Amino acid sequence: MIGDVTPVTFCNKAGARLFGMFHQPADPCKSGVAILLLSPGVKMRVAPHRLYVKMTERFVSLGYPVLRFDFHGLGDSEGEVHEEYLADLYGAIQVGRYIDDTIAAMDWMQQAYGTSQFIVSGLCGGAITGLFAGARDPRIICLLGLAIPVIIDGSRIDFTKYMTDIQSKGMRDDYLRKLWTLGAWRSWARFLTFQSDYKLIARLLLKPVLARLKPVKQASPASSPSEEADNTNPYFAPAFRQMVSTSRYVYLVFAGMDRLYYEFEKKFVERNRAELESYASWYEIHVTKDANHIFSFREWEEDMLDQCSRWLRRLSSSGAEASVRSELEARRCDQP
Amino acid sequence: MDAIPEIKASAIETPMFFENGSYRLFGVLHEPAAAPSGWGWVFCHPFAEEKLWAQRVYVSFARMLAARGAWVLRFDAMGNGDSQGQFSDSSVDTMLSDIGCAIKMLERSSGISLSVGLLGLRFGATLAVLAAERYPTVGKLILWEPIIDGGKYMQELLRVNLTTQTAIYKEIRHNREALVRMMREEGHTVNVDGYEMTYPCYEQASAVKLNEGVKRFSGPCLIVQMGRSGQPIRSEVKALQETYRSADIREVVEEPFWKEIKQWYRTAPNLFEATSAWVEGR
Repeated sequence: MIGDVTPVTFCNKAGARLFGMFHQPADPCKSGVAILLLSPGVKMRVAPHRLYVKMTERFVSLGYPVLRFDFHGLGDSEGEVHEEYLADLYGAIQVGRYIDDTIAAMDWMQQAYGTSQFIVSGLCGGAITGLFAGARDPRIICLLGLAIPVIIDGSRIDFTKYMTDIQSKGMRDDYLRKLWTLGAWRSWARFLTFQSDYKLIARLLLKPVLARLKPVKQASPASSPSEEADNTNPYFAPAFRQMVSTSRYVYLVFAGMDRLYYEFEKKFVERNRAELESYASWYEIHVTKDANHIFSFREWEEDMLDQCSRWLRRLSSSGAEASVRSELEARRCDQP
Repeated sequence: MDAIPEIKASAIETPMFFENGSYRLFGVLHEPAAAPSGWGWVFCHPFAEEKLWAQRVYVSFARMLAARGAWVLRFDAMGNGDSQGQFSDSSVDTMLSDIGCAIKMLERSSGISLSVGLLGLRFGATLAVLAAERYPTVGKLILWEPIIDGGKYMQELLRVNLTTQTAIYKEIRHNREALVRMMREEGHTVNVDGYEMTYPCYEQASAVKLNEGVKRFSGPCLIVQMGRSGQPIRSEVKALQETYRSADIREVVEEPFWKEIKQWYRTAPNLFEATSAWVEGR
């Protein structure tokens, strides 16, 4: 690791001690901007297969100080989260449970190191937390989000009802392939011993037939009442709008084989296409081909890391960080 | 799980780095929050991603032991968690060396003469068994669902790679034999849920068979088998027990919280109860 690493603790608003790692670069960039890596789901501050450790190495080598820490009730931090099911915990994160912890981290960084501008980054639950925190706190000048979810999870939500066409097709093809594959004996064993999700299988297989029988519906415009019957996160679009409309950059990296990418396209981009075009200069999207949700194979991880580093370098060299900063300062001055 | 009593953080939990030769290990030291029992515990974490799934259970149990007067050191082996190094440089040898270093660190940190026990889950339990054979200062062993046949476990990990290949490419491009050959002959790593495993690690872990021979360790040992209600004790667990002079087996009902399941496991009440009753009884 280039630079210094220090284990740190600080308190959130409720007084719970949060544990983290603070990385200081040997050669800090002049902007004074720091990166917060926000924990994804329950995989704490290191993230799946230590993804955040590797991201930190890249960011520190670019001169950014990095703080990665555990939210309350997760990792080493104090506090408890009481959900019985992981899906409900994910759902709670997706509606902003850890915004206050993120703000507490910035307050601590500001007090301890004088840092007043932040780039928030993270995978999945970390990305959505960063987006919401950005919508609330102008100290956040950019979001660098990986596999950001646009839906809400929950143990009582039947996600099979809300699958995108691409997801349905992919799963249907998998099931059909297993019908004829000898190596799929485990799947057959599950099917014959009543362990399969028969509702899901029936829905997937019947969907093309039913689609032919049903009249074609018009695509729903943004924030139409039909969204309520969907599992789309109602807070996502307003938060995204808040970020880009206040001249803050958003860079999103998706994994090509991740359902979250299809959901983002179908449930956010398609529904908000016209509005997104007007903010085109404030956000960018990259898709890592073939990658899974956690970028587990090395080539996917490398691609994601390269893209993030390239974007950060561009941001820094174009003076965008400084212009976002001055724009935000101007807005603050304009406020009564 | 809502009926579980709150496990509060103990009075003092200190995150720290400590050195093992050329690299630094990260650990969290829990100081006793009650009258000191004179015991200290080093927690040996499970392999790769299982470590992350089980993290909060480890934290909660460390807090429970500390609340009952024990010192606890939870630490990350080299190439894991917040410790230095690459996972691909780790092997059974490095992990055992790291456990030895953690034992010394705990003895030094407490500032008193401690009796040290090792606690491990899955492959962490396997490492605890091996470490107890190597380090004579280890006085107690707690083995949660130990991996007894390392070879079988390594095959399961290779299957994880095959599953990822199938999910992405809709076919298996390299089967298990090819993966092993690529590790052994071409020096490649095999990716297991994002962790790059090398041949030395694979080979050393594959050679582990805990249920053979007689163990040198002669202190008290608890082996916990986890599973569904009414499951008989597996023969390999009984065989492991027979390799010890004084080992108890407990069977507890718990979900496999070291992998992705529907439940969120912040504590494991049956496991905690059985283990703490054994600790206090001993």
